[in-house]
Amino acid sequence: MDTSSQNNLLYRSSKYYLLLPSYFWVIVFFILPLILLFTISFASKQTYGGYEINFHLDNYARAIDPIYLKIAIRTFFYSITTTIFCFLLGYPIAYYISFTDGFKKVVLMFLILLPFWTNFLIRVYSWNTILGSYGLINSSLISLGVIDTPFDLLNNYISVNIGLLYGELPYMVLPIVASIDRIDRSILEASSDLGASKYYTFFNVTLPLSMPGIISGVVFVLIPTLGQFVIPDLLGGNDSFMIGNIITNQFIVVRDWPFGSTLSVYMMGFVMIPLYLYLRYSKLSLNSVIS
Amino acid sequence: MLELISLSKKYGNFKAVNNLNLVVKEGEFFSLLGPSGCGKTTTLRLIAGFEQPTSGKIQLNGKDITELPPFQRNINTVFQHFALFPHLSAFNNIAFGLRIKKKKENEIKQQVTEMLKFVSLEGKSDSLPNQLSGGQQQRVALARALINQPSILLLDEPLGALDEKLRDQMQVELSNLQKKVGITFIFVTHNQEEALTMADRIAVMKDGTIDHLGTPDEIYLKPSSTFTASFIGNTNLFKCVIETKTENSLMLRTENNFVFEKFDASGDNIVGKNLTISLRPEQIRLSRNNPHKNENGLKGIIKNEIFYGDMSIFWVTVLENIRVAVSMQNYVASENVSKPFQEGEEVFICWDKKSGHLITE
Repeated sequence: MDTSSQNNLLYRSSKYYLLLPSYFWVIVFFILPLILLFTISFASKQTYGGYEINFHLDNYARAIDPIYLKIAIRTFFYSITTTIFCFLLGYPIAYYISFTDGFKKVVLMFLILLPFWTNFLIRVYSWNTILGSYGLINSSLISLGVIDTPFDLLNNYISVNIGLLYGELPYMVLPIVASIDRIDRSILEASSDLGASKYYTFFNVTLPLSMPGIISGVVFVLIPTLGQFVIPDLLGGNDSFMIGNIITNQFIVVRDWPFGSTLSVYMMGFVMIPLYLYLRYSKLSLNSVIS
Repeated sequence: MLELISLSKKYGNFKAVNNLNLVVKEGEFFSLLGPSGCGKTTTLRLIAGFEQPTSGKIQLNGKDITELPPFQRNINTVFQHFALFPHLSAFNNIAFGLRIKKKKENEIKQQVTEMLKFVSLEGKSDSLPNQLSGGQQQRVALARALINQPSILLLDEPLGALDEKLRDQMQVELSNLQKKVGITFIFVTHNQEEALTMADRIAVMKDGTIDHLGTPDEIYLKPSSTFTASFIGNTNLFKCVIETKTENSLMLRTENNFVFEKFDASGDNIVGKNLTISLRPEQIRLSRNNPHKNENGLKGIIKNEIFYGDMSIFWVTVLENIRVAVSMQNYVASENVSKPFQEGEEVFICWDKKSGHLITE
């Protein structure tokens, strides 16, 4: 008896030892940088790009300047429209993929994942050749005689939105496919059996049951979009700066690390809101869906 | 009345349902019984409209419904794993069909409340399916289907997901319920006990067609094929040939040249015809003495006794290598089960000359 309980104890503590690498990982690559960022946000910039930690709130006061607020609101607006468009376009795609099977489904899933094999910068940059004045769209329209002068599609609101939609769409599609896949098909048959048309079944059964996937998709799209800076940089104009651009600017160009950190802290705080709602709601809906 | 006329369903080259003809009467508790892969579930799905037949027709009360989608048929289904809507409460699950019909909300409330009472689920109306036990989920599934007052209720192995105690209880509940509502039930199962206890008539299915159609008694006592005979309950099958024939008795010779007599054989039995005789384990008794005058008897050795509590099955080897199952009630006078026969004992197996059912194939 004694030895077995000793073994048990050893076994139990060894389980925690096995967790050490992951603790190490989280602490070194996640918690420490966050603490660092948080500390620097209270520091002062020095002339040659360094900083002195002297704990004051000047950076925080400076960040609520209307200039930055305007950009923050724009960022929020971009994120919301991107999320909505991703949902409107992504849900039908996910629905279609989920209801095909066999080889066709494998091919469709592969096509969704295929773009990830190419560098993101290159993929975004390639939209120049589609949207530019002499790009694919304008040159075809002109040669067809539909328009005389090219549309202004690049370096503005439209191109940033298209770029964001393009970049984030898979993150909406994949979780929704997973959640529709998880719906027991006999539940859909039951709905039809009880007299529901396809339309009624979709809005009263399929859509509510795919809610966990929709919520994940919204979070996966909304949060990265809030921090996006590559797309407005490559496809945007003067008036499409997002908060992510300002932050990278502070770190790389202006070399004002304290102010960049402050903006990051603000943004993180802002991201916490949808994340918190996600965790709360997804727990609820998961409980009701997984039976 | 439901009529299936030359119904076939092919998947590629596989005939899941093969030229099936069947009439189910109004208000009947009908069971489709068979091993997995016999086409019983496909038949059910054809009736429900989830699958389209390759050929043939389905008629409900004289009206051709073959082409109608499930939501336009006055038929409801209780699914194998109930398929309750996990995001809806018991109340809303049951109200689902009524909401589609756009009934008034107070009418829905009244009907659903009545239905919940009918299946003894008062007080569970706000529970989600995963907060209900298996038996309660089962009853919600039944209520959800019955509230639409279908012409036919289809049940796809509805007791399969329940544990055994509950299954026995639900068997009684289901057949009482069916008598109360008077709706035609078509019940698919691979469990012969469920079919025998509940159904008015049973269709035993094999390879996409009906092997034997009849009442539980007929199917158990007079199976038309060796398949049905061995699928329903246990039985001992012996191939034999008619040796001689008198007015009401046959002399039969088995493959190992054992000759015995059979009285009251019906059908056209000509000398030389090949037959199979089915002897149920309960039609045979064990004896240490010679068989009576009206009995056939064979000497054998008890190889195994399988104890089931209330009864035992004895496996007896006769004619060197033929195994025969004989059942016997265990008489329990005290805490000690008295075991009348021991393994390894030499006994006679005896059966009445009237016993045994002849099968021609």
